[in-house]
Amino acid sequence: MRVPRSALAVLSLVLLFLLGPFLILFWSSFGTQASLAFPPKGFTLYWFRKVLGMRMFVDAFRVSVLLAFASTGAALLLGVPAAYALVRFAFPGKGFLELLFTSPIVVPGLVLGFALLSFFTAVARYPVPLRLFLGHMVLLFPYTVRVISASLRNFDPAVEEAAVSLGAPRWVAFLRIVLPNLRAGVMAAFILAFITSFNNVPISLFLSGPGVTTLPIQMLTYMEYYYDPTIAALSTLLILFTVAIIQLVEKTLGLSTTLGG
Amino acid sequence: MEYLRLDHITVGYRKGEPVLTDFSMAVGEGELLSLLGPSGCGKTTTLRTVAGFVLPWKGKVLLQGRDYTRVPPHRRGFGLVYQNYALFPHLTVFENVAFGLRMRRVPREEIRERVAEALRMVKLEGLEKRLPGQLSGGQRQRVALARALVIRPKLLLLDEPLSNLDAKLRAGMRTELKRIQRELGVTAIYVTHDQAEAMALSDRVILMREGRIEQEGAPEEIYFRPATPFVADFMGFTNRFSARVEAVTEGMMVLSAGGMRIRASRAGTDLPPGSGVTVAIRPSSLRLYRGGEGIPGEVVSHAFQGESVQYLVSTELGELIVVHPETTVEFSPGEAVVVRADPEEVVVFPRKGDEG
Repeated sequence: MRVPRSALAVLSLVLLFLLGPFLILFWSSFGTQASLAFPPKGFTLYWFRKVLGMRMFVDAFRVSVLLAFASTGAALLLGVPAAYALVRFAFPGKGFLELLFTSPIVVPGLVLGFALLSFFTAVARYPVPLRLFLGHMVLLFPYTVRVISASLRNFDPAVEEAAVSLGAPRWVAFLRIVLPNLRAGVMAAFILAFITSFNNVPISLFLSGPGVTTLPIQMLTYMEYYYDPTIAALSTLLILFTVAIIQLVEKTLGLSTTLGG
Repeated sequence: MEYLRLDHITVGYRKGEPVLTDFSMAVGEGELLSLLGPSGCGKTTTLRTVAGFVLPWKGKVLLQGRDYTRVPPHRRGFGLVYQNYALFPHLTVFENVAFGLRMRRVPREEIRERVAEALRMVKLEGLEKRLPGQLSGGQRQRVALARALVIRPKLLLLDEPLSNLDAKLRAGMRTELKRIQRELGVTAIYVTHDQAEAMALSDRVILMREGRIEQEGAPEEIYFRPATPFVADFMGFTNRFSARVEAVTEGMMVLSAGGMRIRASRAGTDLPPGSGVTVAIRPSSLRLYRGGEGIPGEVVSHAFQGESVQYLVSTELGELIVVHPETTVEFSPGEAVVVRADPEEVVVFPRKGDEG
């Protein structure tokens, strides 16, 4: 079948609009001028070397990665049983809980960040790393619950019952039969949550403290003062990093179940 | 000998809306009992109560006299087969069948032997390494059956196991299921809405309606002597009309309907002359003739069905459906005919509050 010309034109416009900014960014990170300009002149790896040598970025990157892994892991550990309870059982207040789990997606990030800040100053005066961890977990939890619920709903409860009838207690049936079949859902939830945490600005903005801050916040701070290709280089590195993480998750989660099953 | 008993069970999913109320039934040892009925009649709930997935509000589940009501489902040792197979999608055929044995910590060597034996029984040797997704519907149902049987279940529970298969496969699986159940001597409860399936498989049938037993008995009994209009309707007595008992003689009744006479034998012979009745007749119990005694009518249409021909005949008693077990169409639309019924196959029910 031939694709109509008008459709092709629209498609290329959309692609240009979506990818254009990234391409410009990518290109600029190799330019030799001291400020962001387009088209950039020359070719250099100077900005990459500079970024990798800056303490403020390297430290913040480490914080961001650790935070993303920890909060995603915790949100998954809580999210899987929560999703299971929501999908499989009927109990009073279920509708309210479902609504509650969507609220952080609906509530603007700045409002959530401010609410968390008030909570941590007024009620629980935890150290900054713990604040960030708990704040991000709260942010990610609804995502993991949603994604895993969706894949649980596609899983026939009869399969689990069959396992129970064959002598498996509920929790064994869950671990050996349900969980392996939620692989795709867990993977999707992991990627979504990890990236959400890694990119988050509003929560981190309120909860960061002296010495402990995340990469997006550090980037914003830097951009307030400087406007050079450093940020472009850093962004290029971040895109590559994110792609690598997704690949890694897919490889490990995909591979382990093939070998284990 | 009585094996399983449900004793005055009341159960439901929502408070104040019981599906079964004060429901009792028994299954004999080695028997294959069918729970037959339209959807929503409570047959699946009955099965799930036996399996232990729903807890009765009242009443008891007894197996060989032992109270099983509170035994959790994973400790009951009942084999379950579902309509949609419910195989473990991430495990091979071998691991699917072996699952119940692994849960029982059976030694490896014995697992291998018993799985092989179970797969031989359902004729699936050589497919051990396949995943469920790589099997046909019929093969999947065989795996499900092998998986349920390999644990040597105390009771085999089948929930519409054949209704996802195509007609040809279904007939084959039916005979096979029966053979395996016989061979193993396992007591089984079979839930279905398909009356033909229940007739072909069961030692005994319980026909359910709205959470109650409507009729219980051997397949022949339910097929030929429905106890209520509901059973008659469900069992395919599609022709129905009102009549009045005119005379009762030795085992035979003369009914009059619309000025015509119909003879009926047995069933409700204690009805006194003059009582109003509902007459129910299967299409295959009616015959068309070109003359003589009977209900006069006119052929409206005919439909060739392969091994039989179905006629729609308009009479004073309404439209009657007649099925002739012939491969040729003998009567054409517009033709005047006479409909006669075999008196042995005419079923009569008293009509309440009707004097004729």
